[in-house]
Amino acid sequence: MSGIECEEILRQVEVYLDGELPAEEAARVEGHLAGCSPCLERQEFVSNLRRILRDKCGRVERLPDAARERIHRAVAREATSETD
Amino acid sequence: MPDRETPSEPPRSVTTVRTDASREELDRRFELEAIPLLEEMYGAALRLTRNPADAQDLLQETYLRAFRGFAGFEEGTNLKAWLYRILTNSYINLYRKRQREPQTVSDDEVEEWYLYSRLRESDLEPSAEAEVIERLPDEDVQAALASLPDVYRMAVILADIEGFSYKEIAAILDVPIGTVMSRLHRGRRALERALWDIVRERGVVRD
Repeated sequence: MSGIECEEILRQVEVYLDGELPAEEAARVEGHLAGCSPCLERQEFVSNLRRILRDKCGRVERLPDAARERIHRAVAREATSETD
Repeated sequence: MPDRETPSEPPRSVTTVRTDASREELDRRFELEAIPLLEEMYGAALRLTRNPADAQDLLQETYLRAFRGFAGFEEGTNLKAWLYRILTNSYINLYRKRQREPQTVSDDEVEEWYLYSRLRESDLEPSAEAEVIERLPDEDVQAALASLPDVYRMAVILADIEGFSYKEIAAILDVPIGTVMSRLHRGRRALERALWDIVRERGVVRD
């Protein structure tokens, strides 16, 4: 990895992966990555890291039935009190 | 002003005057649209509170506030983001007072490519950097995320786990987009540092 261009691109990689770069800049990042394997490797690392984070921390946990019913009852009580 | 996609809740003191018919319609919509998101919001509550009892209390508080304020939710806008806004606000109200943890990460912790560079310098197979993290038990990665100060943790959770856009996160946390970006940047660096500490503790790589 070397050069001003690599530095600039690497500064933008996270925003690029967030899907928040304007189309023109995103195209520039993609163009660079296609021709620069060290930058591409870093981009893949960030992208993998995010997938791992989602897999390991983003699981949907089952809400216990008792808690679900408690919340339902609380909302229903609120609805009744509105009617009064 | 909050943007139109995630209208804020009306102040609680304001009583919205509605006819019985419109209230019934609102109740019906709440049941049809908000209740099915309970499971997903529970996951979010768990990630914030880190324990089931607190997560269930937070979820109940969120749903009660959402129900009371549902007249302020504009149909066709992003309900999930609206519920997240109430969830994060409720979390801050319920739990911030007990916290005495530092709410910033210092500048020397914000180093670019921290984790990648450390892993790169270790004796690893080529391109195996991410695999080291992949092989960690889920609990280790969850602990690394949990170690972040709240403001950074919330930004990272909302972007990298829940997949919200900067604009949506700005509306959920009620901060400018620039603040979202800087919290995310610092939060991600702090997370990398925490992950590296765990990798070292586990003896997965040599220093």
